[in-house]
Amino acid sequence: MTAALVLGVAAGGASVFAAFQGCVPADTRPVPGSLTVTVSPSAGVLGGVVTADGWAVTFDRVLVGIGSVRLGDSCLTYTEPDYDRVLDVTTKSQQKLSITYAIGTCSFGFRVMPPSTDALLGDGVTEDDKTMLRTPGADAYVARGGIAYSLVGHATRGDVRKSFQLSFRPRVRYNNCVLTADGGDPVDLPSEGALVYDIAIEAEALLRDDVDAAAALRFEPFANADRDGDGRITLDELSAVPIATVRDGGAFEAGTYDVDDAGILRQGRPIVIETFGDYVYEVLIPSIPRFQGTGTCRPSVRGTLGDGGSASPAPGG
Amino acid sequence: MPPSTRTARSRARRLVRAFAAALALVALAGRAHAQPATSADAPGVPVMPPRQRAAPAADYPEGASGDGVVVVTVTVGIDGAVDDVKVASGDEPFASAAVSAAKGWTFDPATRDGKPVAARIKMEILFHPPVVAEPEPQPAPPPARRPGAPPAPPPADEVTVRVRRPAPGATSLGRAEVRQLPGAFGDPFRAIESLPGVTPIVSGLPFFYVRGAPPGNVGYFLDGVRVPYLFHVGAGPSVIHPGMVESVDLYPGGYPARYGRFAGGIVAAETTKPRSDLHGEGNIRIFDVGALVEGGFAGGKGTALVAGRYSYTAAILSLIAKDTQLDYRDYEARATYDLGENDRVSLLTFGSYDLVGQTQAGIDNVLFASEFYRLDLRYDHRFGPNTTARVAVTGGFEQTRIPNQPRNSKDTMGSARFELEHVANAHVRLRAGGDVTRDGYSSDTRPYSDPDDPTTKKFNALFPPRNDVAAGLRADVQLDLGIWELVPGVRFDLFSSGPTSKIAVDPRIASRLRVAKLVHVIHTFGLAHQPPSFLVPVPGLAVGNLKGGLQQSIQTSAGVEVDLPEATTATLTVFDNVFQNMSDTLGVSQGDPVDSAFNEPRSLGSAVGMEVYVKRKLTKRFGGYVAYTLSRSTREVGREKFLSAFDRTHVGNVAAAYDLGRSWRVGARFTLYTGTPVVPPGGNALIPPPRSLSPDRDPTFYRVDLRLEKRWNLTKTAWLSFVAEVFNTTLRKEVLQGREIGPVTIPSIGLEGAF
Repeated sequence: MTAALVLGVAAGGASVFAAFQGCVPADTRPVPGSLTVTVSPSAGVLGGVVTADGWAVTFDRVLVGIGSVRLGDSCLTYTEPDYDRVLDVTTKSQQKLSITYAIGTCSFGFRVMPPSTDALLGDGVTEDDKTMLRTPGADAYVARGGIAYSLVGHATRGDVRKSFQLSFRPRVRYNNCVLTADGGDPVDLPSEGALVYDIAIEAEALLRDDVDAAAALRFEPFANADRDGDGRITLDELSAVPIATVRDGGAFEAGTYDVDDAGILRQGRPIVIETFGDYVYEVLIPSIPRFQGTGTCRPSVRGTLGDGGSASPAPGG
Repeated sequence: MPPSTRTARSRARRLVRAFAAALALVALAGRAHAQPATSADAPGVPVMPPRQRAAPAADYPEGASGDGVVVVTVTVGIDGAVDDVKVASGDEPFASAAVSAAKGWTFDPATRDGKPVAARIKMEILFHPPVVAEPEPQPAPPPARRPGAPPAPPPADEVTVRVRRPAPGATSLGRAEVRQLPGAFGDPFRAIESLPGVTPIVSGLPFFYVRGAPPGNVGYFLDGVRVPYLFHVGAGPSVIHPGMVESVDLYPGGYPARYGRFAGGIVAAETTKPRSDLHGEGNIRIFDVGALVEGGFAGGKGTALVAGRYSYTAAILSLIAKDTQLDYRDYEARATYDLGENDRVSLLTFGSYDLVGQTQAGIDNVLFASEFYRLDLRYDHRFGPNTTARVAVTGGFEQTRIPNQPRNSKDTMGSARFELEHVANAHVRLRAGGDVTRDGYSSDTRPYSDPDDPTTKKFNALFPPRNDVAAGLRADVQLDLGIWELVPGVRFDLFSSGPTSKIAVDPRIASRLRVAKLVHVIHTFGLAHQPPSFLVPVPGLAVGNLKGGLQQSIQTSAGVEVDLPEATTATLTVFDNVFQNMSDTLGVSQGDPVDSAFNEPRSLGSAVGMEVYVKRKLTKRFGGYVAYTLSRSTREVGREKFLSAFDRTHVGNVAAAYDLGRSWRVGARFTLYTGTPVVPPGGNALIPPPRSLSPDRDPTFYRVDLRLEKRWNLTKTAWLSFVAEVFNTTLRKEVLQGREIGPVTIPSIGLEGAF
């Protein structure tokens, strides 16, 4: 029984020892690398664009809810900045989105969606802006949700002036971003390495007549959608324009989504483009963010028609 | 005043009035049925019961199988010898063995007014095949007269000494019984989840709601020492070796004044009595190995016990998932030494360690790790035959590697407490105590963190480094009025965290009234306060600065307990709990509760329900129970009232065990519960979509657990068992918020043995 007593004393001693030391292993991981992600305006957002049909379009304010940067599982992520920001990309050339610490080679992704409760505010963004974006609402595409993009601008051609204030409520996760079409994982972080990637917000993507980044910009369909003639273009007005009336020799034909002859997405998500608003919301909105200049990402959309996920490649963003 | 607060206060007043009315009725009934608890020839003079001096263990009868329970009525003469033994209940051959053993007992005789008198007492004798770890009142040799153990409450001529009767409203589980419960893996703590009033979160996950109170509001205690958490990581076993646990009591509400600082239920375990004869037990299973050994020294004045469990899951996992590491281990040790007839010192220490790791990109990464250690030093003293006292100091350390941060949060604690117990007379037992506890919390700086990350800021704000002090005084009176047991009590607590302090006063009362020979009516009522709690109990992590104020619960219950034939008991209980200012992140979360873990939302909660518990001891040749809970648990946040995210209307457990003979025993447990309310999607908006009081629900879940045991008696006192057990034999997957989980199926094959 002496042995049991000795064991008891030993256990007590171990308890005291553990009380000072603990047994949870120390952090032996090497110093990680860092990935800093920034968000910047496109040249079109900063300086405006002149469309192929002669409109000079200026973006006065572009609010976007963006964040939740994530790396693929093949990286060892030390801390994942699972937060988001509300940014007005017209106010500053480049703004910080987040810093991720990791080691390894892996994919990269981020999210555009209505801001969360904890979303941080970028330059020139107020709590009222955040509240406006977070206030749930409905449109023809989302039954209830906050706003991911709020675009305010105007366009002039000659002495005709049109203004627009458009809000979009999609929730898009961009996965598997690559730097080039045939590129591999964009994140390669050695210990103590440092990477900086940028996401450009190309608001002018809404004006393209195709999903290709080099597609022509057209404002005429927007201007023509102003049926009430008040000079202000609304989403409802865009959705009242049959897509067939704006298609002209191939424009507005291509879609982000790879649909079959029946208009069914191969992944099973039904999508039928019937109006110009459908085309803007469904096809063009996901192509607004552009990863690292010429990079591409794979958008997965929630909150638009069909309210399902998609994994079709998007040429833009 | 917010409407929710007004509603809560109004409701609280209503509950108090209702309970007072119920108590008044009970009191009237008590007066109508109460019998004088004094002897006929000396009215008014109480009889102090005889105290056992020597009790040779009852031999396990030849030819018997399974466990047996016998209640004998023993007549103790004025010389302390046993004059007569009669069997009050119990089957052969156990009955004869019990009578034979009881005839050899000796006592200090009962006394009336200081003079010895003859008395009859009832005693319960438990038989296990073969005799192992007998619970009291069959003390192991040599007789252990614990200075800390108070004398039994003494009615007059006839004294009923039971193994240990749980407080009114509590449900008690003994180790011998729990060993037979399929799916509990012989673990008393795991068996808690199948009791009435307990609502699981997810099958296999050992966290549960108790009468609407979230896991963070349920306190765990071992011999009065707070245990940070009960179970090893994942679906692991409890952190206390089951061989050391005599019994586990579940107090779903209205618990004794001894327990405080938790606004939900209490799970309180008592360790086995110290034994000086060398004995032990061990088990080896697929995932772990455990052992316990205890014996005496210094001529029986001292006892020492060591126990532990070690998981080699990592070795098995390495064959399946090479990159994953899962470790757990725990230890327990206890030493007692009798300094004299009335003095004993004891040392109890226990600790636990858990680790989940993964190798990624060639780097070992700790995903989660947790540990705690406790060292409790006690001194028990007996002031004469009727008064005992205990003073104790406890030290402890605990820490957790917080997932997704990742950093360590720690608590270095120290506490001192005293407990007094005094038997004033045959009807009155006074209990009092007090304690002071200091917890020093700290967290490492989050490494490699984005300085803008709001999660880091919220974590730092919610869990600041600071010292928390809690001091409490409590007292209650156990009134044994013959057919009516009444336990009024109160506790006062002072909470201090950082710059903030709060005071709480918690009155409690429990009543058990015999309204007919086999029928008891049971009431409980209690207030309870608790500092803000986290999602689930996490060692080293506690919300700081009393942010948001104390949580408060008002707990009421009323029930009827009926003793049925064939050693079966049936209980029907209704309860109504109100939780004010509760920090139930799980219950109010919309979507993944982990996402809002650091938000600590407050709500007004309510839980009403009915519990049915019909039980025949699993240790009988055929034993089992039915436990069913019908409940509704709501939350109010602002003007929104909705069902708790883990409200389950129906929770049912049916368990049965049968002795097939030839030492084969089989058991099965069927568990079924309603799915949780489905939360409307789109919880990321400023005004979340409204939740409903009658929402759609996830599908109902059920599972079947099985157990098979074959036992070999090696010697008179040594045995070996083969045990095969499967949790969720049906391979059912559970659905939570539309997502399938599992199947969480745990097979276990192993050997158990004892000597």
